[in-house]
Amino acid sequence: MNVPLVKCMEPETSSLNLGVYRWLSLHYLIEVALISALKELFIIYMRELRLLLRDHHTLIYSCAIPLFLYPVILFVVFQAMSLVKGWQESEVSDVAIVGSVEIDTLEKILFDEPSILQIYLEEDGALGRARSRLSEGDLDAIVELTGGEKEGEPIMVWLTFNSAYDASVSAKSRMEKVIEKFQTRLFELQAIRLGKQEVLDLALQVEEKDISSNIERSNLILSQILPLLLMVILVMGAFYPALDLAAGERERQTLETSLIAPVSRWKLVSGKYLAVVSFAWVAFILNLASMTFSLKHILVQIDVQAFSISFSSLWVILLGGMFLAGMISAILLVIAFTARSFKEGQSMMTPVYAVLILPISVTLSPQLELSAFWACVPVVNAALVFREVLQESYNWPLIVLTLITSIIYTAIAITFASWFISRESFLFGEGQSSWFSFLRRRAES
Amino acid sequence: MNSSQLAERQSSEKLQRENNRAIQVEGLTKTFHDQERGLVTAVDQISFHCDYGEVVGLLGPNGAGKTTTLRMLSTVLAPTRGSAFIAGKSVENDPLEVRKNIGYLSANTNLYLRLTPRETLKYFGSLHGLKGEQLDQKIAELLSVFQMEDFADVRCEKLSTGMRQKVSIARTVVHDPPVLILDEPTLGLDILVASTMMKFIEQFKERGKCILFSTHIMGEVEKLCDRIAVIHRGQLLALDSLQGLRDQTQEQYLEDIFFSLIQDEVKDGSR
Repeated sequence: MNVPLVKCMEPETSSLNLGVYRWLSLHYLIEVALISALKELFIIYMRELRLLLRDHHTLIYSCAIPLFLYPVILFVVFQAMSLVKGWQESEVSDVAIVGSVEIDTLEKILFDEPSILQIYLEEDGALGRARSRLSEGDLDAIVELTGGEKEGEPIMVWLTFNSAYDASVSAKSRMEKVIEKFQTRLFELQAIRLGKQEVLDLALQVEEKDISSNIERSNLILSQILPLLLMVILVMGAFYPALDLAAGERERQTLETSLIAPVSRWKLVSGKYLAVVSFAWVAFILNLASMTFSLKHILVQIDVQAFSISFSSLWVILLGGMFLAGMISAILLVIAFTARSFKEGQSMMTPVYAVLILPISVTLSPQLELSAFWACVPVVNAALVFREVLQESYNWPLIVLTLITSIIYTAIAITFASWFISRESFLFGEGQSSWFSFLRRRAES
Repeated sequence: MNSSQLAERQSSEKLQRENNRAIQVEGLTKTFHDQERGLVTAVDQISFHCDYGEVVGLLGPNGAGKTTTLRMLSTVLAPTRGSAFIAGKSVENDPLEVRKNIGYLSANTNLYLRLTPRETLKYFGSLHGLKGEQLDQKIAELLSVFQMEDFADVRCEKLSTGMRQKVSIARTVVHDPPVLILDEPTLGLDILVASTMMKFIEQFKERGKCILFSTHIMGEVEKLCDRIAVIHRGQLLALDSLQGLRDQTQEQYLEDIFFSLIQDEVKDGSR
């Protein structure tokens, strides 16, 4: 009885074993192929990275300059602003006062303003002369007091200034504050004179209180400017490495050396792409650190006492920076391959900035909010996520949608770059049918 | 599939059967579009073969189509028509396998100047599947053979032309390929380095390898080549041993043989 059963079981067991064996073999082959592919990619990536790290031009343009540029620029700007502010504060405004209505009250207020030198004009025709001096810049402002002579007649204050001169504008600003105090003081005096103390008690009192935290204020400022700065950093960080690895290879005649290696062109491009992304991301982190330090310094100076980025915002910035770096690096690598030399590539820098920065500058508008539509627009989506997250607003479905679309766009860009540079016409400049060639010929003619 | 495609396929299959040859080329053609000249045929239906242990020289003036032919054989360019097999592998259908079986050197395959000779050899050796001790041994051997120990760790940008050429040759043979394709390997070299290159080609041949190299220096061809292919305006005018070419043209010196063949072609073209 057992024999047929055994006979019956045997083929099934063998079939199962064969299936498992086949599956394991297939799995083993895939694993070997995958490891082999990744290993080759890693070898190419390491070579490209080494080439980049040994090029001092790329290091200087991508890392060193931006690293030291922001602190230096902001330091110079701040020093210049302080200098101008100090100069303006030390400058005394010459203000002519014409008329005698409530002049004592005004005098008392002006006594507390050492930055205003008051010149009282009483003689006939003084106003006409004062106006001609104001138009010539010898006088900074004229305050004319009229009316108020009869009971119930309002006092009129005429402030004349010349906006063609900075000193006059400054004097106007100073006098506006003085006039405001003057008005309040007159109102108080009138109320007391009329014995209406209750009017004073009921008067509207306004006290301002800012409930935002220092971090919120810092992040609000940062969220407005960060997307644009991010783009500048990433383009600056990725463009030179991309140029060096693409146009530079053609110029140095090493592209053919790379192409005769026993690897596919896709791997070759991917290795270059990964090196550019790595370099852009490292440059991005260095730049961000430098920029944060600089902004912190300047924000403290403009009276925001504590500037910091919360941990949750930091990882979003770093992760978002990586996604943006991924997309931008792929685009820049394609552009860099169209250049026949490093010099030609450098001339593309300005249009590249214009094309990439224009869409992102829309994020400067506070009215623009992250929506399903904007989450699908490349580059702008990541910029809007930054802005929202920095303002402590986490719309997770839209953030996830942004991540998914960013990955898709990056994958498309890499595939396009691989296909693009695999064409002989672009590898050796033999084809003349491309749009880029057409533009180049127009430029050359 | 039409009759011409069928015939082409049958021809390819026949060539594949003859894969005991190092290089087998049949009707290889390359055309490209030039903005000023229109459609240019750089290589026009070239057919030839090379065997293992043989040195074949491609002789021709500038613009004859030598470099384009070698570029197609090295898989850098794809042929417009025709077929080519290296070590039995099709340059069109199996370019990766072809690249594993050749060492290619030309004026356009410069070294990565920011790498050292050791790093260059390590990079190419790794991509050819060498690893660990095997790779280290191979690098040490090549550094010794080409006397590069003294500058093995100096960046290539600081090396002289001769030193760089040595590194390039070592890079070409790091994976010990059965076929070498050299495009004007002695171009711009001084007599000492050129002599080293000639010796290297001879040694490589003695090891049973196939070498196909292009040049316009007659002396190199006379000294090294078992057979000579004369190429002009993209067409193969003759392929034979030096003695065979002498018999064919009734000329003694290679220079005269070359001019004789070119004149014949010019006469044929003007008829």
